Amino acid sequence: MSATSVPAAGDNGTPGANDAGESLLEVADLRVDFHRGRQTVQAVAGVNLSIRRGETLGLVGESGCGKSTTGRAIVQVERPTAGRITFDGTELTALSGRNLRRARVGIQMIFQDPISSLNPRRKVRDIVAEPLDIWKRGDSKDRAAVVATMLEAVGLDPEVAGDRRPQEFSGGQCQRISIARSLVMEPKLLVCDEVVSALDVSVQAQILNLLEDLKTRYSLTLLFIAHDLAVVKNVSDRVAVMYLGKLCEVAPSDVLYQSPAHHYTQALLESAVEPDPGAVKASAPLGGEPPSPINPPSGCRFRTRCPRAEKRCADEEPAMREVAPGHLVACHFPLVGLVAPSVTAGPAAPNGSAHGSA
Amino acid sequence: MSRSTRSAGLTFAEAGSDTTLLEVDDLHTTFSTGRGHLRAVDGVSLTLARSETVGIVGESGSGKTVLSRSIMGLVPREGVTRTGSVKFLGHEILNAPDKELRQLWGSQIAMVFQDPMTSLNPVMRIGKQIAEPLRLHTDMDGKEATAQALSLLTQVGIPSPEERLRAYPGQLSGGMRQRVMIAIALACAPRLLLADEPTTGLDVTVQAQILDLLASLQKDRNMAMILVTHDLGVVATRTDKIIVMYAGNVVEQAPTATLFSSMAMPYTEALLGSTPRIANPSHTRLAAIEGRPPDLINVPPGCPFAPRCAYARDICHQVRPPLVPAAEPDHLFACWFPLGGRTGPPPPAVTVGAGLAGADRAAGPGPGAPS
Repeated sequence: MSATSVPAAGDNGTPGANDAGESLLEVADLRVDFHRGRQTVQAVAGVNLSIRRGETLGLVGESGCGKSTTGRAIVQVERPTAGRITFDGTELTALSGRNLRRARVGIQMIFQDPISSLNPRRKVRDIVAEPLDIWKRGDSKDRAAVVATMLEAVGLDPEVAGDRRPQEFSGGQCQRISIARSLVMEPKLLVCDEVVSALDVSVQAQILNLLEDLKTRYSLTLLFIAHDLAVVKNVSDRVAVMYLGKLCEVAPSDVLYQSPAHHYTQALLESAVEPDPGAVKASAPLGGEPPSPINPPSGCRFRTRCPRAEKRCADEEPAMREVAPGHLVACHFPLVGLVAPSVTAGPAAPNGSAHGSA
Repeated sequence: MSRSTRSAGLTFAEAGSDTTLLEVDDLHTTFSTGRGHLRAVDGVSLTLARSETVGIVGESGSGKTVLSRSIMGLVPREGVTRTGSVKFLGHEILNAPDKELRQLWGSQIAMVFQDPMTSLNPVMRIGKQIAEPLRLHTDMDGKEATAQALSLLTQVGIPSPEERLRAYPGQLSGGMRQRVMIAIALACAPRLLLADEPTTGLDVTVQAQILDLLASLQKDRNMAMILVTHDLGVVATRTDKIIVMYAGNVVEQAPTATLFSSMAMPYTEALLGSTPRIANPSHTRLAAIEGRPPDLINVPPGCPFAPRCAYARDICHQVRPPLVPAAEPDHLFACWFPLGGRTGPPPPAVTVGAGLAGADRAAGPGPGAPS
C-alpha cells in the first residue's frame, strides 16, 4: 500500500478504541430515513465510520445503497434521523443554524454533474469566489488572488477562464471549476460524490490525477463516493463497501480487492469488467437486484442474494468485526477469517462493535 | 423461433454462401450546423460476418453512436448528408426510402439504446410494446404475439413475467427496463443487433448480467452484434474484433486479442493507459491524455490525435495517416509512427517546415488510403 503515512486501521488498539486525535471525521450509528407517504425508506441504516486525517476513504456500492445519502448527511444537507457526526472535534449533529454553517466550512462537497452544479449565468471567477463572498473573507483584491491561485491549481488559466461562463467549458473543465470552488475555503475534508462518473475515460484520468495532486498539496482528507470499483481503488487508502443502507466491509484498498471477506464484495469484484481479453469471465455472479429498502430482509441484508446464506443469516444480523488488522466485515461466514461466534445474548446493537475503526 | 415474414416489398433472402452480413464502405455522415459542417463520421469502412461481434470503442464525440445510427438509417434527413455505402445482405440501404427501412427495422436489424427509460413508451404496457414488432412484421395474431412476448420476457430473465407483461416501464428498475428493450429488439429474431452503450448507467452486477444475456442470446440465435461503448473493459472479453474511433475516423481495427497484445496506434494505448484497473495497486498514477478531442467542425489537418499524442512529430500535424494493414492478419492502423517498433506507412515527401498549404494538398483525399 503506497499510502505509507497512514497507519493501518486497528493498529492503535481494539476496534472499539476511539482515536479522536487521529480521525478527522467520526460517523456513529448514522441513520437517514425518508418518508414516502406512510412508508419509510431507510436509506442509511446504522453506519459507523471514521476517516483519519490525510487519508482517502472510498465508499463504494450500487445505486440505491445509500452511499450518496451518507455523503450528504455528513455535510448535513440531509439531516440525519439518528446518529452522531463529529468533524474535527465538533459534533455537527448537535448544532443548527449559524453554528452549524460555521462549523462545516471545513467540509466541502463536489457533485456528479459538473455542468448543472454551476450557475450558467455567472462568470467562472464569480462562481469560484462565491464562498469567499458569503463568508466575507478578505477584501476584493485578496479574493481575486485566491480565485486566481485556485483556478491555476486546477489547471485552468485564470486570465482566460475567469471571465467565461460554464457553458463555454467541457464537462471535465466544469468539474475543475467545481473543485476550485470547493477549495477556496481551505477545507479539511472533501466529499466527492461520483465526481468522475459523467466524464470520458481520458478526462476522468485527468481529474483523478488532479485530485491526488491537490490532496497532497493542500493536505486534504477525502471521502470518495463512487460506484466504479477500479476508480475507487485508484484513489483510496481504505475502502468501505455499502449494501442496502449498511456497510458490509471496510479494509485497506489493496487488501479489500485482493482478498475480500464479504460475499457481496467478492460478487462486485467478479462482476467488474477489466480491459484485458485474457481475463476469464465467469458468468454473472449475482442474480437479481437489491431488495427494496422499504422492507429490507431480516438479519443480513445481503442474504437474499448471497450464495453462502444459511438460516442464521436470516435470524441474526451479523455484527461488524475485525477478521484481520484493519479489515472489518459484517458477515457470519466471511471468506477471510473464522465464522462469527454465535451471539447468545439479546439483540446486539447493529454493527455496534465496529465504531471507531470502521 | 418459428415465424413467417410478411412477403410484401423487398425480401432479404440468404445470398448464397456469402458470410458477409454487413458491408460499410467509406461512410461519411456530415451535419450542417450554424458554424459549418460537422463531420461526425469521416470515412469509415467495416465488414461484419454473420454471428460476428464487433466492438466500436471511442470517447464521446468520436462518432461511434452516429456511425451505428447511420448504419441503421436513424439519422434525420434534414441537415444531414450521408455518402458512401451501407450494404446489408448485399442490398444497399444507405439513403433507402423509409418504407423499405421500416421493413428492415425490427425484423432484420434491431437496436438497443443506452437509456431504456426514454426508449420505452411510458404509457404503454410492457407486453404490448414487446408484441408490437411481432404484429407488424409477422402473421401472428394478438394472442400469439402475447404468448411470444411472455416467452421473450422469460428468455431475457425477468422474474414473474406474467405480471410484468401488464406493468408499465416506470414500475421496473433500470436493469429490468434494459431487459425489456432487449426482448423487444429480439422479438423478430433479427440478424443484426446494434447495442449502443447497453450497460452504461447500470450497476456493475446488473451490467454483468446484461452482457451475459446478450452473449448467450447471440450465440443461440446466430446473430451478429455491434457493441458500441466507451469502456474497453466491456468489449475486451465479449467481441471478435474491435474498432477504435477518434474524431469520426477509425484509427485502429483488429481482432480483439491482437488489439490488446500488439496495439499499434498511440491513441489506443493512451485510452488503455487512462483506464483505472482493479489489477493495479491503489494510487497508481494514470496516464491521462491531456487536452481534448478536436472540434469536428474545424478538424486540424494531419492526424486528428496529433495535438494530444506523445509521439507526434511534424508530419503528424500536417498529413493525415492512412489506415494501413499491420503485420498481423486483419489488423489496421492509422499512424505514421506506430508503437512497438513497427514501420508506419511510407510518409509522403513533405519537407519539415513546409507550409500548411503544401500539407493540405498532400493530405487531400488521404494518400493511398485503402478505405
